[in-house]
Amino acid sequence: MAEVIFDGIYKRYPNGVEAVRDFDLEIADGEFLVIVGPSGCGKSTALRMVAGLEEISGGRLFIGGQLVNDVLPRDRDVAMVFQNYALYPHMTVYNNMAFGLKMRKVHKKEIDRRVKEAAEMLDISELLDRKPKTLSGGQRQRVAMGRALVREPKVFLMDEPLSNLDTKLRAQMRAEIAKLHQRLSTTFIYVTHDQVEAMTLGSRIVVMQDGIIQQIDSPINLYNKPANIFVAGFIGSPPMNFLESCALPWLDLPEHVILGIRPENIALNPPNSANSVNAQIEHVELLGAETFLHLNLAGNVIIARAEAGIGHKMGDELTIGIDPQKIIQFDKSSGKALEIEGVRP
Amino acid sequence: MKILRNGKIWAFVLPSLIGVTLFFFIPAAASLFYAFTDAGGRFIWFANFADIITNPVFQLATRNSLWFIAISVPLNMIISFLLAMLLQNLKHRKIFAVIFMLPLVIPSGSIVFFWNTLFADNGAINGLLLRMGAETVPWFTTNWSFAIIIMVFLFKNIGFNMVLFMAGLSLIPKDYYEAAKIEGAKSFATFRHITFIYIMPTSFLVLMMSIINSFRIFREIYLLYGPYPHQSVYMLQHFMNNQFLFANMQRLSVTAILLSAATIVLVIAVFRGQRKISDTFS
Repeated sequence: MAEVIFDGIYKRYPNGVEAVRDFDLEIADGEFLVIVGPSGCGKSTALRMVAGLEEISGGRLFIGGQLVNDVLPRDRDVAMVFQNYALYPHMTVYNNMAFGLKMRKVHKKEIDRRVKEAAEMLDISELLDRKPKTLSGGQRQRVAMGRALVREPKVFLMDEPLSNLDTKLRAQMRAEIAKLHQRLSTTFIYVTHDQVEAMTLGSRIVVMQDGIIQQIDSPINLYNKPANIFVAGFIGSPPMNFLESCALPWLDLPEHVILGIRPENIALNPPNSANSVNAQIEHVELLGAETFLHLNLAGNVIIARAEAGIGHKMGDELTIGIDPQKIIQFDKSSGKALEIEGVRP
Repeated sequence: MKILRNGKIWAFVLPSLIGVTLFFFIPAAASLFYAFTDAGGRFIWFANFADIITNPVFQLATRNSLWFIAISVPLNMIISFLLAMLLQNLKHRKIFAVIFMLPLVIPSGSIVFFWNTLFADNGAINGLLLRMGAETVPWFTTNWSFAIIIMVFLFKNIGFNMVLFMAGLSLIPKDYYEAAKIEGAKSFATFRHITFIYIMPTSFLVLMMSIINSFRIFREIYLLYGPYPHQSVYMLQHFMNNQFLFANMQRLSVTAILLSAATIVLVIAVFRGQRKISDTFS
């Protein structure tokens, strides 16, 4: 178990591209930290630098208090779960899991004990004699986790481990990874582009864009108090709506302000006509438990969350009310949040 | 069948069919006929085969051909694999690949000319030996001729096999190496558990190509040494060629059949091995 510290980390490629810039982050011992961002934002590069698979171009990286910039991957005592699992097809599940321990010359009996223990924990004991090609995606995923588990490393690194699974299995594995973390209380660093995974797994989340950290915070704070338009738009599904300040004239805000409104904070046909405005339904998305309405508000399309079964139809006119307390203001030019608490009317 | 009654289809099939019949089916049938009959056309069972197998010249040619395959094919594979390993991480590997491939596109005549200027009795190497005060070596008329032929073969084939190996190496998923690095494998273990294992399918391909190409070395041997070379490089093809020149159809046919049978057995064995390997890896 160990804490991981990024101190001004840079990754520059020979062609001059900077994949990670000025990355400062302290990950506490036993923390579950998720790095999230769109593809190409540098999140995997940051993770791979911890693993030792990418050279660090600038800054210092510490694992468990030790400077590891020039330490070989095998000497960092980290384990990694790859997106494509990277299981060796010619080895049985058992040998795949035992590979790292064999390389480290761990005693045979100890290898056997650890492999069987991990297999039991992951519910793959019956699969130990099988080859990876005979396993389903979910089972392979478990084997890949098992291979990391048996090593009993200081830090677990996971690079989009669930992105090759279908939605149902992904939800199931999410829960299992969370349980595993609780049980092991080892440091986990988890990279994903899926904000649902980030929100449900992380005790803290790092949001990245273009190699730069946009915000580091708890899931709920990221949702309620995004630091900028990028974070606000990235976290939450459907995403936050953004409007020019002139779209809600009663707020009387200057022109350089962009308004951010979560879909669930738009009241449909409110009893009180204050702070309300007319809109037209452009598109209806039925999801079963709820409905998303795409509304045309004076030329802007915004999404509102509605209860299911009300029977909204395309083309219907309705009144929408927006609680000014729940509006987040952003500066138009910098994109930064202006007043995290929201505005008062 | 309906499709065969359609006249147009024959317009497409016929040219190939005539070619294959004239140059493959008829000669093959003729070979079978010659192999089992004597010069008078009488059926004599396996007497021709017995004659050939006990023929000392045939035995010499077979022994030489087998020796040549046994030495040149593994050498070819090992050297081209090592070169591929060396080159795969180089920035300008494509340029090297082209350079190593060049001997393949140079006509045999030119290649032979080059080796001839090197090793002929009054060639470059003997010239060098003379200058250093040493005795000259009759390269082409001693056992050295076998070593020279091995060199010619390697010179001609290494580039192609190296490119095949480079392609094979580039197909091994990077993840495997990265996982191994993190899991604690050092370079030899990584080679043994990953590179060596996952290059197997390519190795089988290279093995087969090398064996097939080893049969083709006759052209170079013939151009360098003529129809009756030193006995260490008298190959099966020389034997066949000479039977052809003497119009000994019986011997020629039997040798051709034996050679084809051996090739088929070899190819089946290699394919079986390859299938087994790819079953393990896919």
